[in-house]
Amino acid sequence: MKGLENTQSFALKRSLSSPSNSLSENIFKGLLYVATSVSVVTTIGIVVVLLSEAIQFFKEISFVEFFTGTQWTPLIEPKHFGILPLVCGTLLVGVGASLIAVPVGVASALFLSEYVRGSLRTILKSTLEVLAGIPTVVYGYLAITFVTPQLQQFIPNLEVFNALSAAIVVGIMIIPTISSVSQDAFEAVPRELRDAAYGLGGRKHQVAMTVVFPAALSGFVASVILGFSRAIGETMAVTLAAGSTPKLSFNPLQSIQTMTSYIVQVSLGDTPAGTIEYRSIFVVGLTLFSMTLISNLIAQWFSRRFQERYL
Amino acid sequence: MLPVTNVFPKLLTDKLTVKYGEKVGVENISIKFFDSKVTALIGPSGCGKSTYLRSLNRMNDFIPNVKITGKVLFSGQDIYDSSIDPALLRRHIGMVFQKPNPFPKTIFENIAWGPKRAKFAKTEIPQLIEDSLRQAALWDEVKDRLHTSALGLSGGQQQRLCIARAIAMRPSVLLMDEPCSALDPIATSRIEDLIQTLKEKYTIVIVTHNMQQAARVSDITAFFLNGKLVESGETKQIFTLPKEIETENYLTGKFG
Repeated sequence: MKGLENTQSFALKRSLSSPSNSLSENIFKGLLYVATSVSVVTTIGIVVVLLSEAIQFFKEISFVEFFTGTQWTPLIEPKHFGILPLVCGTLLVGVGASLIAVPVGVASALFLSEYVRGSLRTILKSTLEVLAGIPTVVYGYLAITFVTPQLQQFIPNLEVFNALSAAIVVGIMIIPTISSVSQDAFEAVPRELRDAAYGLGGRKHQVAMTVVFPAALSGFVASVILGFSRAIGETMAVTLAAGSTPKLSFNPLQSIQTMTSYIVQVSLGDTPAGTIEYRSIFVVGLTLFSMTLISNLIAQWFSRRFQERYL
Repeated sequence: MLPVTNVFPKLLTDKLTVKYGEKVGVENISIKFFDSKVTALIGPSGCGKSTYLRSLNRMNDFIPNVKITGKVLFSGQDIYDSSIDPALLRRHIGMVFQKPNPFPKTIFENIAWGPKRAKFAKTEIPQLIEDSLRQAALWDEVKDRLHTSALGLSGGQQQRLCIARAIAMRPSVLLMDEPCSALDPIATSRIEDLIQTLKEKYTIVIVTHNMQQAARVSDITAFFLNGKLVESGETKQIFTLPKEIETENYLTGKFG
């Protein structure tokens, strides 16, 4: 073409010496794809197994009996399959643990994000996170050997296995979850908002409670739900501390049974596969899964509804 | 002869030095700020003018390792004296920041935040909100949407809301840290007009990197360079007959 004779030529075409497009790129993408698929496939697989066993279960036991029955005695005659006592025990521990962990967790998160800085903050935060690394079975025998005996001095009619001790140790266990997720949310609140508040003559506690906390509300709610989900899914500590007596009662001084403890009880026993008792653990697992899912959905809805948006 | 109101400065710094650790922010700055006057602090980026401004209401307290020497007197009181409560001080010396920073709350709650924390009488708050918004020339635009989110406002409106929020505390001094740098020219000129009306009631100190803005809005100009005050005086004099060669070079665009 006229006028373009002097145009320098650049190597722009694909060639074997520079296989930019196809092979290396595709292999890399493929590896990432496989890695992602592992968890997706596993999730689908678990749901399929739970559902198929549950369908078999509900051929023998009616929905009405399962969801409204007040007795759970699958292992002794006469057998009853009412899930309510297990739900009740699970909620007793989950709510009780949250009552302890939410105030303590949020308070420490606010303290760490608003009141201390530098190396002290790092030290305190990592100490708190060590708490999350303690094996849950340790919390279990801590409950039996320490918490319960101590409580019995004040509460004489406290049973050896009881929901209260379980709730206390599970509460301590989920403090790091709530604290660390909340702290990240508080620290993500822009510095400009704090500047504005301090510039108006706000005091530290006022800024923390009326500016930082509301601005980070959705992160806070997420931390609570995450902690609650951990609490109701917790197995080892509650099995040890709360015993295995399914009871439709909100009295925390007695022994109860949670859904997870029941699953352990059956799994450790010699219940043959294919029996109704065997299938019941899948149904209980599915129920627990649904509860966690629902609480996550509530959390998402809540944070969308009440989130104060940043700048 | 100077008008009587100008005899006693509302606010002054005497040989003020601000250091971060070993790094000097500003050094040996003495300026007087008078009632009903706008003082502009100008100078190139990094010259310390914002650092200086933030030391006037102790917003530098939040920066670790900050060290202040010299004096800042507000109505004759040394604000760095150990008996001074910085939160109370900031209620009298309000601040408007570079980037509009409304709380993610309603317009009403934004302005009510400060007065509520300072325990102003609840019954006077609605009137106070109207007065502040009128003073900030925002009332007509927002009076029908006081209970909607402040983040729905435009950038210029947000900045006027921040001014309304600051004056709702009935401060006597307003510090403005490049209040127009995030705004478009139309919003900027509205804020500049606003500063002209506000100066009747408040002592205003404004940091700006925009020399035309300093010339338009201020009565007194102080020129900073490398952490030092080069010169200060009547704006007209600084812009027409600067005493120092650095000032002249900066104003004529030879550097900066």
